[in-house]
Amino acid sequence: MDGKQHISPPKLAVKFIEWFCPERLQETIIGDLFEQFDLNLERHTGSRARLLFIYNAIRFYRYGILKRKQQRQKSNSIAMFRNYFKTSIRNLIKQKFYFLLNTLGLSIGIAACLLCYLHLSYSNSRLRIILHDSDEMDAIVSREKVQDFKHWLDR
Amino acid sequence: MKGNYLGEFEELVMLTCALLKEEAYGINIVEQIKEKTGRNVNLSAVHVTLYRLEDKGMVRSNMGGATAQRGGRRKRIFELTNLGINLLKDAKSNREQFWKVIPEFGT
Repeated sequence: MDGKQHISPPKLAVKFIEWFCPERLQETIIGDLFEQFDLNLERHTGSRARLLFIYNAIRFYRYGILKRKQQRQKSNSIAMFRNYFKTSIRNLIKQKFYFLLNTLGLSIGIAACLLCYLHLSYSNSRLRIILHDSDEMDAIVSREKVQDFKHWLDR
Repeated sequence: MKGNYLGEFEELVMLTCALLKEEAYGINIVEQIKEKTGRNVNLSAVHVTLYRLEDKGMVRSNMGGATAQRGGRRKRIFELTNLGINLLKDAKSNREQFWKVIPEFGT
């Protein structure tokens, strides 16, 4: 083991941990990584132990660790939106009739719009009619003219 | 609270904590789990789980001694709280209730 004594964990990885890790947890995390590095030195070669150290350091870059850093400067926007939500719900409960009228009106309006769109897109679509008599010519006709076209065919 | 339920990994970590007593800190738990179950768990996973359990009040931690191996850095020793111990016992007895009524599985 004496030959491996001088091998030390990569400094950059330690720097990396110090950069993203909350101060409160840093000491124990880096300490544990160092101890794991020593164990890995006994099990693997020095370069592999260094690689494993880097890998394990990167694995600490995860939500469970990161969220603890942001705890202090957590913004208040969530509380703000919760307040908006709460006040609007309470207002709706307070004015049930107008709430009902509003939602009903809106939903009828939207439904009517959708129906209009469906009808228009249907009537604007074209039909491809295959003429049995001649094998070369097809006809593409708008739906409104299908009846006329049939007349014309029968003639 | 919707109720305290333990996840499978949480339970494993807590049991290892109880087993190691004064020596229950990150890397030791990883090694112990490996030894007992042959399962390779990542150090960061154990850390995150321990912090979450601490938030929930199932374990508590205090700083332990430093060794030269760790570059003079202290350890964070975890121990189970009463809540944690009770939850572990609950989980065990709940499971045993099921095991008792499934005779096909035997012992």
